Amino acid sequence: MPGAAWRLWERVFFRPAAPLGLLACRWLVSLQALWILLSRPDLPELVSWPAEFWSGGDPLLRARFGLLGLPLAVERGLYAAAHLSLLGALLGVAPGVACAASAALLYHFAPLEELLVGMPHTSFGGLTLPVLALFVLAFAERPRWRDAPSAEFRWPLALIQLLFAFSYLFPTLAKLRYSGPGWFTGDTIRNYLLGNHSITQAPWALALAGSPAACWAIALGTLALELLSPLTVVWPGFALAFALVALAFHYGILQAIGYFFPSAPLLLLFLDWDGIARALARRGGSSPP
Amino acid sequence: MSELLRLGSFLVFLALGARVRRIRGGAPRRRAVNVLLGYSVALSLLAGATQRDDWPFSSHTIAVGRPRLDAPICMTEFSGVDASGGEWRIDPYSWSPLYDSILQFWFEQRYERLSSEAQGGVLRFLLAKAEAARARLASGKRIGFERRLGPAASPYWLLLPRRPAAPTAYVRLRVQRACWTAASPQQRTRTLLAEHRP
Repeated sequence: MPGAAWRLWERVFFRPAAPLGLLACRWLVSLQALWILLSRPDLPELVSWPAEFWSGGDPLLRARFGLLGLPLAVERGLYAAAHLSLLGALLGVAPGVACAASAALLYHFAPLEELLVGMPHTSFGGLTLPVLALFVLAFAERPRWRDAPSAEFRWPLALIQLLFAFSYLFPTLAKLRYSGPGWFTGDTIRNYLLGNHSITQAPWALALAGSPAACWAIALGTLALELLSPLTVVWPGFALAFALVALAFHYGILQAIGYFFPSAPLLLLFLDWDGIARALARRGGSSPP
Repeated sequence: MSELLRLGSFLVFLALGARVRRIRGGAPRRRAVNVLLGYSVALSLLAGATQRDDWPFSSHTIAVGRPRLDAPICMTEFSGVDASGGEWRIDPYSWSPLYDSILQFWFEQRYERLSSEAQGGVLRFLLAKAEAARARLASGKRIGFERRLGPAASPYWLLLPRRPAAPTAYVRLRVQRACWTAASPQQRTRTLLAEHRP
């Protein structure tokens, strides 16, 4: 790796960081995953659906996620265990074990619904980052509130932030691959607005579609937001601005085309956690943790 | 084969993570962390750049086409029919844990390949689910994703319109293919795909 790139790598992943960021990361991804699981109370019941629904799919795909024909009662037990292990991760009860168990169980359950049709949109279900993040947290050192800043508290958070940033960057790579730069035009946005309105009846669609300037702003704004997303791990000030703009972006998408982004709460990962730790330390009258 | 490769790529991630966990301090640990970081970033970039999904290292593929206003948009619609012959669009959360759009995918990909006996079984099962959900909704109870958390629940990412529950029981299930264009969304053609009458 060239010298400048190596220095950037070292700065992004190994600059000393306060433990607060990693603690907050564990709280956020655990809460996010719990929210999704509590919003899918019937998920294990799918294994008891008639065999016809499961016929014709790739058995290796099911095996890859541990769908091995276990009885419904076992799947229900595992689903309850996923809730409990996430609660353990959230509260810091044996956090390493809790994170590893949560990640493994989420890996099993997250794609369950879409396994019937080949997983076209599993990454939009709100559990993709929690699966990876909880594994990374299981691999990492366990932070404690009063620990001194360390690179051991930086690299896991930076990796998780970068993986989340990729969920913004890759949709643009996909658009460029399949449609080229011509995707990012006002016409494309207008046609998406009108087409989706006929399916979702999103409230802002027709008004926005009637404004070429708004369509162009959405097209170019989408390009800028998604292409710049990896900078969030390089520059904490940019990360905060990104989180605010992305939140507005998701709200706009919800109102304009009726796509909900279940991972929006994870934008809190981009807060300047070291800055918050310093502010808390100043307020508490002690040196930063 | 591709599923085995994908599983393998994930197991390598776990093995590299376990190695980080095992090595304590010093240069060997830094090297192990760098290998884990490099692998995770490279695998993600591979999925994103090639658009070959390797979930949870995902390609995040969505809305990649350039739609035309005159191109047909088609959806599979599930309707319940009451005793008086009235047709009601079934609430998208009625199939919980499956969301309506996933069931649509499944129906379009797999239903026709089933034997007529199996098709009958599928429709019977779906009618029972639709009616159970209708009855819950009509009695003011929550269904699907909202059953535990109510309006605080995370919805499915594609927000299909929800309509008031039918007041009387469904006695038949009707599955139709509806097509239209974005330019003329009111001009919809509907083709009957299947109907179940117990």
